[in-house]
Amino acid sequence: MSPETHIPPKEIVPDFVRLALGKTRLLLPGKELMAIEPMQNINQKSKGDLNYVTMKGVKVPVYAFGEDLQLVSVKDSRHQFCVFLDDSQDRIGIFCDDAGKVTLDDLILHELPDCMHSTVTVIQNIAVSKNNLYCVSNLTNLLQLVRPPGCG
Amino acid sequence: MQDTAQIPATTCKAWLLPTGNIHVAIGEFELLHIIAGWQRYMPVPRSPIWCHHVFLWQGRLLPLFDLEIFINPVQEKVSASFSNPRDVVGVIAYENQRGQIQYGGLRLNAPPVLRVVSDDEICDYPTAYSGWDEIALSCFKDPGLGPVPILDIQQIFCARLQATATTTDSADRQP
Repeated sequence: MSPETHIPPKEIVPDFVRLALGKTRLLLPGKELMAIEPMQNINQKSKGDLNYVTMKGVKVPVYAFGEDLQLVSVKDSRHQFCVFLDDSQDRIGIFCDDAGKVTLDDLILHELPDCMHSTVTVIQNIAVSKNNLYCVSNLTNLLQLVRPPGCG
Repeated sequence: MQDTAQIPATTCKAWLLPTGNIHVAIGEFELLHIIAGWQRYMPVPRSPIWCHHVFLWQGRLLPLFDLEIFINPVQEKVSASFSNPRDVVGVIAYENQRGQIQYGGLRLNAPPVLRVVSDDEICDYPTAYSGWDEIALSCFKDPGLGPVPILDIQQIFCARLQATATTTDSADRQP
């Protein structure tokens, strides 16, 4: 056998949660997904500036983001789904236009080009699947957008 | 076709690239491809407003750099599509700090033009922007266009400019 020839180890096909925020397509790790709920099932409440949804007896803070991941009003009627995420440390809900769990077996992950980094970068990679492009992030990174610097 | 062997040693060929209100130049072999501006670009949230989109080119993922917005970031916000149907994107090759060939897209207002540049055309950078010495290698004077900075492509595409600018935030940058 040629030394260059090798069979790569069989990899686990990654599962993701796909969120649409306007034209922005986000992929988050599937293991962080708790639930995807249509908005008609969501009973949202407010306490001060914080909006939350009670899920299984637990208050879960909910947020809505625009295309540039800027915080927008959770009362925007365009939101169709709430995606609940939990990474065992934090639990939040994100309102979005569309959502679903996807398995992308042809996924190629690209590093974010150097010139696209900023002090507020929360995108880790750009994923390509069947000529579709997705921004890859996770709950920890998204929390940077909702918490003041230095918190959590 | 001009015989390059007859060009004096003090000259070389460069592409003139129209980017917004100014022209810049890059080396003859740094420009690989011209593609139409209506390709599908995907916005990357929280990335700098001058480099806010990516696109696929021959199976590769490329950043799309808008030099006009980089030079004058307060003049406009990110647009998800090209408003001018004449806009094109130049696909540019450069070597990163690890010696690897990389590719990037540069937004242009019109197709580039190849011309011969001579050492005796060297001049100062245009005064309208003070940061040319950070992103350009030199500058030459074109009889019709005035000063034309020669871009440092590696600096533009490799430098993490620590931008804080997005569609919603301020446009500060700290090279």
